[in-house]
Amino acid sequence: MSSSTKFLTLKTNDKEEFVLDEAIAIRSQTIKNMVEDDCVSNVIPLPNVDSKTMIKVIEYWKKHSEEGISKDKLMDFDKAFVKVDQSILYALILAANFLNDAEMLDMICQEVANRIKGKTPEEIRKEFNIENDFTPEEEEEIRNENVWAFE
Amino acid sequence: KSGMSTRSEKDQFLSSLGDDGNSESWLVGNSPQKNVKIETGCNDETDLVDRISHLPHALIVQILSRLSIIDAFRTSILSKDWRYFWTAIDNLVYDNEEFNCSDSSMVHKFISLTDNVLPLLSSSSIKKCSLNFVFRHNDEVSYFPVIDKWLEFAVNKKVEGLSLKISYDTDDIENDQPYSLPKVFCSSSSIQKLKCQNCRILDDCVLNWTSLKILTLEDLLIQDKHISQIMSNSPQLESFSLYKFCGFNYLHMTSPNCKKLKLIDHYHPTGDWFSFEGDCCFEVVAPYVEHLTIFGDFDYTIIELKDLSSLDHAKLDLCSDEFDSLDEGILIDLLVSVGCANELILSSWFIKVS
Repeated sequence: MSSSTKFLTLKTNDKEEFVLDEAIAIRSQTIKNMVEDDCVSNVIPLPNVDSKTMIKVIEYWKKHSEEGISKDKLMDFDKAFVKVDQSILYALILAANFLNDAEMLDMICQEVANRIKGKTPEEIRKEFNIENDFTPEEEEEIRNENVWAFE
Repeated sequence: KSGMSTRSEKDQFLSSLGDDGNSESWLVGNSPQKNVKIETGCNDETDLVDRISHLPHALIVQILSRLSIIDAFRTSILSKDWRYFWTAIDNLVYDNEEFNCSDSSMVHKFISLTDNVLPLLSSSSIKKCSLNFVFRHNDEVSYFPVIDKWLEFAVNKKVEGLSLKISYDTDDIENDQPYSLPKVFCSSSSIQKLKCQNCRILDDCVLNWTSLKILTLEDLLIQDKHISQIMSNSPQLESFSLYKFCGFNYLHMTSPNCKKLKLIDHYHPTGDWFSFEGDCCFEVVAPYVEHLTIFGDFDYTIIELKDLSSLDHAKLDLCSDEFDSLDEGILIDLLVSVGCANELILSSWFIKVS
């Protein structure tokens, strides 16, 4: 590693500290802006991210920063990366949004979309634990107005 | 350990960001949302929390923008929260190949979709629009005015990327007219990436895509004047690809930014497009092109490669069902023309010749 490698310390909301190569950490546009505005003295607080999520995020950043890694390998990595429980997926989506990593956010949004794709409303509600707060009459009315979409 | 940040930490962080209020994440982060505790690593099977409904609205819209427009619309019935999330999507995907081919009510469904959905979309601009239509021969109603509506809508919403694919589920398309691109679409100043399959460019149409960077045209007849309109009216064009094409004699790539040219399969389109007799011939003048690919079927077609002085990478892999239809002299001329490329990929056929 060259002598000019700079390290940043990221502190998650559960007080864990992560020391990371700046070149990797600035995959986060939020961190990049802070570095460029010169407002990082020692520790960067990440109040919206917990340590379990940060471990996943760093795993992703490191893999995507590997030199000479093939596209196929990255695709396999990404596929495995998003095969997680919904709870982790949402923590990641919020983290990617807060850290402003467009690439990671895009990938996770796509994964959530894939879990919705082609399902009936009933199946989607079940998959995501969405409570149907329409009365049967209200739901019937919406369906009747848009028969083309729901038959 | 607490899973939540304290208020003071958050304030501290916000203030540490200074006045940089234009960051997208902050816009999203500041949008109204219900405060929900997100616990990671909680694999409890009794964990029946509705997390998706509590994401910031902008993130829900980003997710819905990755679905087909029908899937996105269907989420309006999930719950009251979900009633109108879908209306903010900025990426339109319609693909009727997903549906059952024998369904004769398809065209009516599509018209209902167009009439009910397009007026409700609220996003001020559309990033991408992808339309894939499969025509059934026995559809009594024409899709064309409806496709016009979509393209006009996309142009009004300043669409940046558009993919339009039209195909037929039957070989008997002699009586079918190919879809003609509407004039308003041909002068879209927002479009940057366009992929268009099986459409016709009307004779009196002027192609004026002033922001276009990547153009892929497939299954079409394109006239010399339309090629030269693309070259002169799309100065930012970087990449030009033609698949299953015919109809021109001169391909003069006069746009200095256009470094990539792909010519794949030379076809004589059927239908009402005038029938060709005899051989086809066209010349390519491309002094700025660095990457050239000529690939596929070029029966009875003579290609004259002229100025290729910037060529760096060339791939010549053309074939012919009638082995003799491309004569050796033409192949040798092609080889000489690409001589200045640093990297050359040739089909084995050329190697026999040389």
